[in-house]
Amino acid sequence: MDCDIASYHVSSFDFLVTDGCQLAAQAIPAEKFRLKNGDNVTMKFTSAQLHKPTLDSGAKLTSDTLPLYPAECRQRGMTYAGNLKVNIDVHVNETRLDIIETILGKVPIMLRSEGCHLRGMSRKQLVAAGEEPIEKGGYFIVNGSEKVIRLLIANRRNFPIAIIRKTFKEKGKLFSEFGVMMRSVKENHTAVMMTMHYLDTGTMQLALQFRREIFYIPMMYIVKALTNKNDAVISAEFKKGRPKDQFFASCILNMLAQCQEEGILDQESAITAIGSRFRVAVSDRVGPWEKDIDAGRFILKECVLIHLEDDEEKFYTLAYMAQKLIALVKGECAPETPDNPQFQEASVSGHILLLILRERMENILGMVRRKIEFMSARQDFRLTSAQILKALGNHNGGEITRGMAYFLATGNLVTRVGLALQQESGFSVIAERINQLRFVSHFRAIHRGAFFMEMRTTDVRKLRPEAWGFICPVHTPDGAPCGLLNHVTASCEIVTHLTDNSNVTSMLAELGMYTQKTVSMAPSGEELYPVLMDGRFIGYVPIAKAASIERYLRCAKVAKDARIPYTAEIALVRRSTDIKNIQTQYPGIYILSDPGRLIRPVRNLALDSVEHIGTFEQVYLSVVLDPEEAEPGVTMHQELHPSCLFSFAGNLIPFPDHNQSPRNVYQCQMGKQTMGTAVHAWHTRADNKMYRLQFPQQPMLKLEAYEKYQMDEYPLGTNACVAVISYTGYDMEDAMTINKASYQRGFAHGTVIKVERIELVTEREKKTIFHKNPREEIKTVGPDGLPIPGRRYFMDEVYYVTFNMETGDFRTHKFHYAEPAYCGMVRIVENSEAPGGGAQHALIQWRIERNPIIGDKFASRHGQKGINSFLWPTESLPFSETGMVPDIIFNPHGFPSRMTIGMMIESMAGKCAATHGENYDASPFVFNEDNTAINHFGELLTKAGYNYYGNETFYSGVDGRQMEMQIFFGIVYYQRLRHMIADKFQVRATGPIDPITHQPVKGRKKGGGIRFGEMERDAIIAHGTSFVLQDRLLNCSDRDVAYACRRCGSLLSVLMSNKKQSFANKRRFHEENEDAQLDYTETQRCRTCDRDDQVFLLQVPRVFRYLTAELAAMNVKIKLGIEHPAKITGS
Amino acid sequence: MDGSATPGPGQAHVKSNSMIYICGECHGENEIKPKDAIRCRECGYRILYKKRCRKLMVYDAR
Repeated sequence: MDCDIASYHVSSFDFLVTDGCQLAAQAIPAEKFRLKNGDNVTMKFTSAQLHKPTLDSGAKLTSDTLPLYPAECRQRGMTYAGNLKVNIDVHVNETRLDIIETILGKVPIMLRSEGCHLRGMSRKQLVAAGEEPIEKGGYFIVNGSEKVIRLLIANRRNFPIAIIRKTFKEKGKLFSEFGVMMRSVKENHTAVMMTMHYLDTGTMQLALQFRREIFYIPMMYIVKALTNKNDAVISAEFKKGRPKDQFFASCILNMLAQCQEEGILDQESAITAIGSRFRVAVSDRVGPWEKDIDAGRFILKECVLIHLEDDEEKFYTLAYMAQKLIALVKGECAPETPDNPQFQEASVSGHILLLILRERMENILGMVRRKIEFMSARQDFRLTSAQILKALGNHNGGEITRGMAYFLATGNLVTRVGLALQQESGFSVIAERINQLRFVSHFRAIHRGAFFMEMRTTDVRKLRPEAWGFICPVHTPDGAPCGLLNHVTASCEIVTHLTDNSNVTSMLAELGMYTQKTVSMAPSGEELYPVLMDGRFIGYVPIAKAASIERYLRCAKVAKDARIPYTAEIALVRRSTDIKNIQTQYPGIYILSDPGRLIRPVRNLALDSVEHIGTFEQVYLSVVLDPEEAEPGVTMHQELHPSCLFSFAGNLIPFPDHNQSPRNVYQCQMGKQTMGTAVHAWHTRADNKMYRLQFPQQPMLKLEAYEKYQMDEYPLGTNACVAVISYTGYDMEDAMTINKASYQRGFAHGTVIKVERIELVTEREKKTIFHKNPREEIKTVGPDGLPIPGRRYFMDEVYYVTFNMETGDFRTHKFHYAEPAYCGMVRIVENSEAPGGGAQHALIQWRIERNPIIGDKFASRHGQKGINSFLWPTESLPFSETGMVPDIIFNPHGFPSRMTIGMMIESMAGKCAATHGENYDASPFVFNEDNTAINHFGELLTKAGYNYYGNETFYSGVDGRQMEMQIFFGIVYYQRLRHMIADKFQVRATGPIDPITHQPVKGRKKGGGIRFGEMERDAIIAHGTSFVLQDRLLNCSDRDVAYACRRCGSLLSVLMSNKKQSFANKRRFHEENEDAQLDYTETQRCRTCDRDDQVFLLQVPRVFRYLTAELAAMNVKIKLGIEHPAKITGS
Repeated sequence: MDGSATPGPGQAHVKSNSMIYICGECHGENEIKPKDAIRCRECGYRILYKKRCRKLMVYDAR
C-alpha cells in the first residue's frame, strides 16, 4: 500500500512526453487549401517532441543549452518549460515540398516526469538541487508558483451507458426519456459524445457532436453509411443480439422502411446524404475540391464512434447500442447513471494537457494557412519552405508558450472545440505547502466538476457503494464542495498509458467465442452473451461457457500474460434470473483496458497474487476482508489491508474506527491546516507564506501508514499531557488552557515565514535598481538598498531603497506590517525579463514569531479543535501524585456529544507509550469487541503502576487539597492549526472613514470596523437600550449637524447668508433707509423661502445628507417635518 | 571590510559601492556593484544570497 502520491500525474505526463505529443501531432487533420495561383496545398504535422527545460536567455554568458532547474524557476518567478519541436510536412499538388523542422513554443514540464531534469536523481542530488528529497513531483511551476491539475471525473470512455433522463424528452418532437450515451475517446484522448435516442415512434436517432454543436440524424442513415450490406442482412445482424424480440424486429423494419422512403438505398447515397447535410459545418476540414461523399466520410470518421477505426466494427457496436437501448425501453435492463463511480473515469493532468496541446497545435496550423492564403494574394507568389517559416513566425510568445502557461496559471480553458471537457475553469490549483498533508492532498483530490457545484440535487454528492476502495469516505470537505471534491484512496491508481489488447480477440476466439464471421456456426437455440472490449463489439460467447471464459481471462491477467494487460477489467454481467422483477445491467462480457480508469490492488485468492481491479469489475466481484468470510465458489479476492478504503489523510487518524465518523471528516480537514514542517529547503523557497512549527515531535502513537508515508520527515505536532478536567472556568465551549510553563519551554512555538518578492521591472520604472544613497545614513538598510539579514524590522522602518538611474532619485520604502518581523534572508536574483539590468529583483524572507497566545487554535487528531483561552500559571494548575502538571486542560464536556472515543484511547495509549518507552500502533481495525483497545492499554497501564483507565488522583493547584474525583490524564498528540489570532483580530476606536458617507470603512487591513448590522440593531431595539442604539449607529458612526428650514422642510436650501452684498444692493439699501446700519452678521438663511426665522440646527447622519443630495439630483425632494423634541408626542 | 555589514557612523565615508554576495550554486563569494548583472562570477548562477549581518544583534531576551 505504499502510497505513491502523484504516480498517475507523473506517468500521465510521461505518456505525453514519450507517446502523447507524437500521437497528437499525427492525429491533427491536415490543413488543405487552394492558393490563388491554383496550387493545392496540404500541411500536416508528422512528429512532435518535448525537450527538457533549458535556459535560453539573451545574455552572452550562457550557451543555449544550459539546463534550467525547478528551484531556480521558483525563485526567479519563471515557468519550468521545455521546447516543443515539430516537423511539418508540406505537399503542394500532391508532391512533397519539404519537411520543416521548427520549435513551436515552450510547454510547461511536470516535475519528476520524463521531461524533467530531476528524474532519476538521488537523494543527495535532489537536496543539492534545492528540492525536497521525498517529494514525488506531479506539479508544474508557472511564473514561480506551483500548480497542480486536479483530477476530474468524466464519464467512462468507450462504454455505452443506458440512461433514463427526463430532459431527453425536450430534445425534440417524439423524443423519449430513454437513451444510450457513449463518450468515445481516441488514443490521443480526443473525445466525442454520441447519444442514441429512442423515439416514441419506435425509431432511433443519433445525436452527433461536432465542435460543441449537436446534430440529430436517424440512426439507420449512419448504419447504412457504415456498411454496404443489404437491408435483410442489416436487419438480421441487428436482431442477432435479441433473437426472440418481436418488438425490436418491427422497430428495425420500421427504420429500414423509412430509409427506403427517403431514398437512402445504398451506402453511397447514405454517405452523400450525410455529407450534404453537414458540409457547411465541416467546411474548413474538407477541401473545396472534395465531394459531398468525402464530407460524409469525414463525419463518419470524426463524429461516429471515433475510438473505432473500422466501419464494420462501428456497425456492430451501433447494433449493440441499439439492442441495449431497446432492452432499456422494455425495462429489461437497469438504468445507469454517470453519478456512479462504475461509469466514471478520471481525467489526469497529462491527458488534459495533451488535449490542449493538440488543439493549440491545430490552431497554429490554421493560422499558418490563413497567413499563407493572405500572402498568396501577391502576384509573384510561390510557396517555399522559407515562406512557411515566415508564416509560422515567432511562436515563442504565442499560442503554445503563453497559452499553456495561461492554462496552468489560471486554470481557465480557452478553447474553440470544447475538447469534451465539461468545464472551462478551475482545472488547476496552487499546490499549497502548508504542510505535507495539504500538499499531498492536492494530488489525491478528485473533483466531480464545476457544473455540479450549482446542482440542487444531492444525488451527485452521495457516497455510493461502488466507490469502495477507490474514493475515501471520510476525506471530503464539509460545506459547499462536500461530496464533490473527494480524495482517492491511498492504494488507488489510475491507468495512464495505452495498453496492447490486440490479442484479446484471438485469445477469446480460442476460448470459444464466436466472432461475427463464425457466429452462424453456433448451434441454433444456443443462448449467447455479447462481448464488448473498450467499446468495440467483438463477438458472442455461449452463456454456458461465459463463467469459465471470464475465469480464464482473469487468470491470464493475473499471471501477467502478455495477451491481456494486467490493468484490464474483466466483468461478466449475468442476465437476470427473473427478468420481470429483477433488472440487471445489460448482460455480457465486458473487457475494459482504456486509460483513465481507477484501479486498485487486491489479493487474488485463487492464484495468491496481487490483482488490480477497476470500478466496473469490482461490482461483479466478491472481495472479502478476512479469508474466513469467503463464500466458496464465489469469492476470489481479498483486500490487501483492512484500511484500504482510506485516503492519505484518512489513514493518519489514530483509532478512527472508535470515533464518530464526522469527527474523522473534520480531522481530515484540520490535518491539512496544521502548522508543521512545510519544507526542508527553506533557503530555495519563495512561497508567499509558510508556517513552521519550531519544535515538532513524532507522535507517541503511530499508524502503519505513518511510517509508509514517511511522515516523520515532515512532522505535524507535539505530544501533550492532557488532563480532562473542568478546572479553570476558562475552558468552556471548546476552549483549552495551556500550561504557561510548557509554553515558556517551547510548547507549540511557531513562525510564519513570508517571502516578499520585489520586482522593480514590473513597476514601469525600468531603469530602477536597489541602491542606497551613500550620503544618506539609514541604519536599517544595507549599502545595497536591501534589508539587513538577521535584523528585526518594526512598522514604518525603511527596509529597502531604490534608485532611479534616469532621474537620480532615491526612494525609501517603509515596512508596513504592524507585526515586527525578522529579516531571514535576502536574495537578489537575475531578472528574467531584463537580464543584466542590475539588482532589480529581490526576495526578502520575513520570519514572524508566532508563539501561542490566547486565541490561537489547536486540535487533537480526532476533530477536537479548541481555542487557547489562557496561559495558566503552572503553580496554579492541578498536579498528580507524581507531581505531573498537565500541558493542556481539556474540558470533559467535549466528549459526550462528539463521541471521540479514539481520543480517549489515544490518551491512554499515549500514556502507556511514554511509560514503557515504546511506540504503539494506532491503526484502525486492530481491536474489536472481543479484544478491546481499552483492555489492551488498560492492562499496560496497570503494569506501569497506573490506574487501569488512566485516571489519577489530582491535587488542586490553588489550595493543594486532593480532588474528590480522579482525573483522566494521558498523552495526546496535539496539532497547532494555522488560524492564529494575530492574523485575525480586528479592533478600532477611531480610524479611517469613508470620504462620502463619513462612516467607518470596513476591512481588517485598512483598520476598519466590524459592521453593526441589522440583527445587532434588532437586538439593541429589543433591549430597549436606545442610548446604545444612538451611540453605535449615530455618534460613533457618521453623526453630522446640518441646518434645515422648517418652513419648506429642506436640508439643502439653507445656506450662509451672503454678507458681501453687491454694490447695487448696498446703494439701494442706503437709499431706502438712510440711517439704518448695514447688517454684516452671518446667518443661515433658507434660499427658497428667503427667510431665516425657521432655520434650525439638526443632528443628522451624514449619509442622510448625502441621500438628500443624490435624490435632489434626480429631482426628488425630501421634505422634513421638524418639531422641537419637547413637542413631539409619542404615538 | 565586511561588505554586508551596516556601515557604522565612523565608516560612512568609505565609498566602495560593492557588496559581497554568496552564490546559490557554488557558494563562492561575489563582489557585486549596484549596476552589475546578477550573476555568479564563477559558475554563472543567477541567484545570490546577501551575507548575514556580522553586527551583534541582541533582542529582548526575557
